[in-house]
Amino acid sequence: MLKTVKVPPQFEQIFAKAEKTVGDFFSKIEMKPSQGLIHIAGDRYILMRGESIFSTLRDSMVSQFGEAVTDSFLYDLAKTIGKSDARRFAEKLGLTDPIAKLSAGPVHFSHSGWALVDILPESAPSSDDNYLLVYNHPNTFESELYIGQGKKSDKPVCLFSAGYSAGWCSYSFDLDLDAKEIMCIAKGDSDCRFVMAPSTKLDKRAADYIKGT
Amino acid sequence: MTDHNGPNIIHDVITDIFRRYAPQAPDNALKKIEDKCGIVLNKVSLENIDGFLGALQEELAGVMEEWKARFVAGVIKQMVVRSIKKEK
Repeated sequence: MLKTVKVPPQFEQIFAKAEKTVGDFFSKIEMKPSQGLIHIAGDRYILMRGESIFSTLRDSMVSQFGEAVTDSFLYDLAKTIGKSDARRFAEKLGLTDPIAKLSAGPVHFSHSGWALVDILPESAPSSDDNYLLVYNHPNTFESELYIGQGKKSDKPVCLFSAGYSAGWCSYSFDLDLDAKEIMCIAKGDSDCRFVMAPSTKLDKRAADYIKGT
Repeated sequence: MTDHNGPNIIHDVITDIFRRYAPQAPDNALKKIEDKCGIVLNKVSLENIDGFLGALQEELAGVMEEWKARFVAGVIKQMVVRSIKKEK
């Protein structure tokens, strides 16, 4: 039984393999504060306080550049990081199949403390224009911090989660994918839910999904 | 991804950033940029985007530090490119 990711039954076997591989990777964490180092299986990692990224950086940017510029920048930043992590993992673990590359992403996501990933049955990831991923992110650091501040948002707030997952999957499937958060706990919804599709089709796919639910 | 990508939204983003840095700036900041490069926002394409952004960055640099102008122009470029791709 999977512990670090939830997926439809047809994906369980491949994600079980990813859970084992990525779990083994994270078990090799070496924290050497006397040298100012954290390494995991030879890769350099850093720990950052979620609030510093989510609130402090975001608020500072909003005050200087406005919400639209800030949101767009943070989404693209996370997407770039997601792509880079996916490439590194695929190379390190010798993954070549798109679904295998994708499977490492959610497990890595949960081990790094971004959120859990729950891929919903209506998902149909494929290496073409029909690509569709519908997923929840329980416990996103962004929604937790937002709610923790006693605030309620009028729009979804999980930009890092959307961008990072879109970047990881864009690399995995060699497609230009984007993700849109259509429900968010920070605005009072039951889940943080995302639709991911090829960038040119995302608005329609998200609208179709919302219409069909 | 954010929903801040259509031409109308980008118009609002550009207007907002000028109001934020130069409250005295005229509301027609976008028109000044369009006149300077000879390209209206609705006609920006992947082929002529650099001309538009060059004029935008030049105008921005008049009201904010150079690095901020480069940063904002860079982010707006991503937004415009995404908007163009989406419209195809």
